Amino acid sequence: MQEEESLIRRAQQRDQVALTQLYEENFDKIYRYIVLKIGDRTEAEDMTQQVFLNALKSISSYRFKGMPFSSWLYRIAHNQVVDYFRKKSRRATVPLDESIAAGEDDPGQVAERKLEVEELALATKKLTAAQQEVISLRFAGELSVAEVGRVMGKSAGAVKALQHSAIVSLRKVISAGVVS
Amino acid sequence: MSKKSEFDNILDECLERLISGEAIESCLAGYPEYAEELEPLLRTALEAREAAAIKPRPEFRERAGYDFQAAIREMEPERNQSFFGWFPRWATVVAAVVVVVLLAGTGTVAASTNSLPDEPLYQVKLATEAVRLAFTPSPLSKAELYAKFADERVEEIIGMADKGKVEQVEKATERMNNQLIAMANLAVSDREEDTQVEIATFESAPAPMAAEEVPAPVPSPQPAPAPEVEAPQTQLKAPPPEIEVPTEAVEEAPVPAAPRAVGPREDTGRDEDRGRADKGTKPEHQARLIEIVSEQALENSKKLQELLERAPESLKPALRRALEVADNGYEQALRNLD
Repeated sequence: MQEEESLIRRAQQRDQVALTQLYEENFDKIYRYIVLKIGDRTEAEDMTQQVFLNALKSISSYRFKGMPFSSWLYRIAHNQVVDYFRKKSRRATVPLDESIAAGEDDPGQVAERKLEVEELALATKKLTAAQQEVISLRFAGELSVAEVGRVMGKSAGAVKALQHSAIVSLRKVISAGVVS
Repeated sequence: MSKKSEFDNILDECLERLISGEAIESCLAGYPEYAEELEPLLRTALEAREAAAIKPRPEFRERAGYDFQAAIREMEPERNQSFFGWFPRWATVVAAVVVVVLLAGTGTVAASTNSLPDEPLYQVKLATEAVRLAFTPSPLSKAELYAKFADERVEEIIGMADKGKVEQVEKATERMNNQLIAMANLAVSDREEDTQVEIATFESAPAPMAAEEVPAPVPSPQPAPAPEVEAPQTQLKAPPPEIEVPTEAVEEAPVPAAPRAVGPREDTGRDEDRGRADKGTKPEHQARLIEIVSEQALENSKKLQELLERAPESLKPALRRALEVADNGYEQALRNLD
């Protein structure tokens, strides 16, 4: 953690190596998190890029409080996602087409084939906002329970309970073939 | 500990063990009393984790990495910009003229015309360009100058690429980007001086900080954003120049009746064409400018494409970016002029 604090301090002084290291360490995870949240890889590319450009512009005001740097990035990404859905709903576009994820598969075969991220994104939409966040941070962001708790402002116990209920709900959604 | 929270803990522990590579069966064997309930949940969790384990496309990764590095570099000039900020803008113009003419001398200015970014006279060349812009009153003529300077930047990109200087290629590309943006903006402002223009941006405006030190989202750069009622306004923004004569400041200064340029004008064939563009009525001038920019767009795109094909791998990302900037910039300028 001390190492990360020193890395952040260097990044705040616009040290290119430190900034690049923070970028490289978090880029894939932030991308995965956004894809899982919105279910659209192309949009997620632009948004991921924007998360890092926003972080770069604001890094001088970042204050290290013992939390992993990634938790700050996830909060920026979360805001970006919220903004995306806000704009999308204003544009009144057609909601995510469930048939895209479903394809023409026989529901009976769904359990046997590999789940795609777009289908997973669609399935998580049936979960509560908190359950979605836990699934995204745990499975796409690859954060530990303690780290998820820091990002969400919840205790580890609360995150474990949310994780349990989220997996149960996810299983129900997938088994019921809601995404297929 | 309640039974439910005990199960929450076991589920989490098993998840961690699976993540670190353990088999489901091994975990279930540790908790036989919960195995029936645990197994389907662990399989779902594993399935979700595998589905989420996607990788960004390599082309996207490369482009995003390049843009991020460019954004880091763009942060630096801000620290050096304050010196001229203390002066009124007209004083900046006068200071620039005096500095360029007295310190460099007209011979030096002439000699700097073909200098490349890694040469000592290059700063004189940039300063001379800024001064020429300062003494060019009409937006169309200014746009024309920007077109000429963008042409120069392409030559510099080629020169620097031939020397294998990737950083200088990137810098020349950024200068070209700024000049093409400025040209596109001028093309619009000449037609609709007092109108709010909705045009694509190559660069998003900085977002104010939201609560909790998390920056608010800003719109992603998009080729042609659909106008939205509450969307932040986007307008082409010419970033500040990197030499000590701020182009934007110079541009907006009162323009005295003075000669167009300090140094002798470079008289290439294309320059003569541009000279002709100065003559005639405004629509004729604009038509001529469209012709010049169209020719230039084709020529420069071709030159950069050829350069990209023969360049070593280490230079290719920077050259692809230069080609992209040139294509987008000329396209936008022509759209605005049309």
